[in-house]
Amino acid sequence: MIAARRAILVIGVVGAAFYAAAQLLAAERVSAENAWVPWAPPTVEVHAAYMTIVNRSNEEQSVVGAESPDYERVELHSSSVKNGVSEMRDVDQVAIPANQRVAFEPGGLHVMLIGPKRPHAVDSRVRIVLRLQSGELVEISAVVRRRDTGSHAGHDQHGAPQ
Amino acid sequence: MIIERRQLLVVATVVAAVALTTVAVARVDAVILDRPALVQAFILDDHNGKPFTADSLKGHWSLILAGFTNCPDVCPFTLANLEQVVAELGLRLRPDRLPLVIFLAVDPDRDRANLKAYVQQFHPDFIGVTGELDQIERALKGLDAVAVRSKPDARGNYSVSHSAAVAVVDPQGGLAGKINPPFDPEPTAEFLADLFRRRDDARTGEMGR
Repeated sequence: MIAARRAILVIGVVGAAFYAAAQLLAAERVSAENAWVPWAPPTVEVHAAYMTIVNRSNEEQSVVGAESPDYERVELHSSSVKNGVSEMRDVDQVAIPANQRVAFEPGGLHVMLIGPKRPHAVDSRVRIVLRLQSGELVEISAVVRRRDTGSHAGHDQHGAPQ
Repeated sequence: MIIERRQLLVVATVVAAVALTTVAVARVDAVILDRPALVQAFILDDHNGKPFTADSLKGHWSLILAGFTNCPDVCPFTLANLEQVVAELGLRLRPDRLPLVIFLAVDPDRDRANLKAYVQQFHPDFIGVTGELDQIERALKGLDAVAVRSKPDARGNYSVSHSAAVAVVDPQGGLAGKINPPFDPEPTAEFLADLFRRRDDARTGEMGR
């Protein structure tokens, strides 16, 4: 009886260790840099998150979904201009080639955050979890910032280090 | 040896000059009409609920973009860029020649309540206008722009595709042309300042004759 209990405990501890190691590995293999959410007035119900996703593994990784405890719903979107018309469409997955990075930036890919559960203030953080095809999760803490206005700063600096 | 070095310098200068020209041209994608096309009459409301008509476009230059307040990516990005364009124009033009930035909101049911806060997060002088769908359609047509609502999904959510260009309207209420993305602030301001000066000067010349 005691032996059985001990075995379960050992399995549990080993399992937890493996899980933690896998999480750590995932965090190192795929991560997001310079994640930010442009500040919007409280009446605006839809926000966007921008970031650079870095894949340090030797295999292609795909982002297949996203969630946030701070929003009702999260979707992956892409904006594009076709024949002079701006369109926004859902994206099922975003492939990050081996050892490369993919930028989510204004006018292109973005994480669309729908239905804020609480008002967001400048310098506050938004929690986002990206789901990879492998099942791994990438946790992101995006900072809320004002967009660059009234200065000489170009859009290049939107992704500047926090 | 000295000659060689001089030749090298000349070549480098030419390459630099060609590169600069290409960059400047590549960064402003605009279509300017030889003769402005008068924007047909429309009746909308501004974000304070006051009437805004085609006549409201007279007496100043305007930069007008169509969009909707639930647009989280392209519209705010363009409005933020236009704010920077106007700041840059402030360094080049007299205040009375500066354009008004007008956001034509094409999704009135969702836009009305949001409009003021949405446009003013970019600049307190920005104006949001919206109204009845047929009047929005008239305004769009006058600006050579389009807006198409997507089919709602299962949850009733929909998006609106709209012209990416910013319409440039002259102080006589005529569509002077359009600028296309990207709206890099400095070259766009340089381009617009030049256009405003040429058109305003030509007009002053005509009136003086």
